[in-house]
Amino acid sequence: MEDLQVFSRLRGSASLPCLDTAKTFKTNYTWCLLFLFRLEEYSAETAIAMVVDGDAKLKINTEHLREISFRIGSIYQFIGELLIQPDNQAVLQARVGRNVDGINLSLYHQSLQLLRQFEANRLKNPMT
Amino acid sequence: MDHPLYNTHVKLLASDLLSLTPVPSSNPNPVSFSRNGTLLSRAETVGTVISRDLRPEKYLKFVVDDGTACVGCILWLNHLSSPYFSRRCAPDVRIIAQAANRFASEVKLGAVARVRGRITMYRSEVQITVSDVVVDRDPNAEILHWLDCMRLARRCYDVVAPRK
Repeated sequence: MEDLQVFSRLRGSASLPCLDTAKTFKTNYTWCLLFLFRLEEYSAETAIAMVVDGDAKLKINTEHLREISFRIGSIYQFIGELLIQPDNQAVLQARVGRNVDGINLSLYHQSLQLLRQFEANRLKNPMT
Repeated sequence: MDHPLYNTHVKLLASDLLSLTPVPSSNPNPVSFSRNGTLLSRAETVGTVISRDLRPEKYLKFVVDDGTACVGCILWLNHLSSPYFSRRCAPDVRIIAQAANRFASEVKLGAVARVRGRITMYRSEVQITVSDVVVDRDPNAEILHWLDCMRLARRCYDVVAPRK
């Protein structure tokens, strides 16, 4: 339940595509999410990473990721599927991930807002 | 000039690219695409490689996600066996083939790739037939690409060139 509350906080509105810190794309069958978070904990044994963004925490299953080394305190970008487990815990099953240390987080968040406005305007005024 | 952007690699968000309208044209010119009346034939996209299907000496198909949508890309690797290229100068074809193989080896899952190429259709979906790929290691590259795309759309691509 705690994780779901975290996700409620992350949602800008009721829909998944409006996650505050996530970009989204849709595959054939499932919503996939892109997260940008700082690594707080990582277990090489279980391949589970715990990442944080402010007060929000998210568990990432990194078992499918190769060629990526995890450093506590570094910033990572993950794309994967969000799974809600029977105990209501949310886990991102990461498909791809990379270290993005050096990213300008302020620019990222501002640009994401502009991107959403741009996309919303484009949907209102479709191209011909 | 009627269509000043026709031979330019226009920077487009993936969602923008996928909503282009195909405009059939007579041979030998390939199909071109319309964006608000502006004819385009080439595009540049930047995003994370989320799938990769390599058929050695045939092609590499990969999908790039830029956060707005996913664009399919095809990089041909059949230059040395294709009848189309057999009509061209052999040393040139070898150089093109080597470059394509190098691009293919750099396109890895999770990498952020800057892809340029011709806009084409495959199974009714817009895709990019790749001319060149650069793997971007700057963590801000995707963000700067978003900003470039939005600025260019507003100030350049949305301003339809007057037709003669």
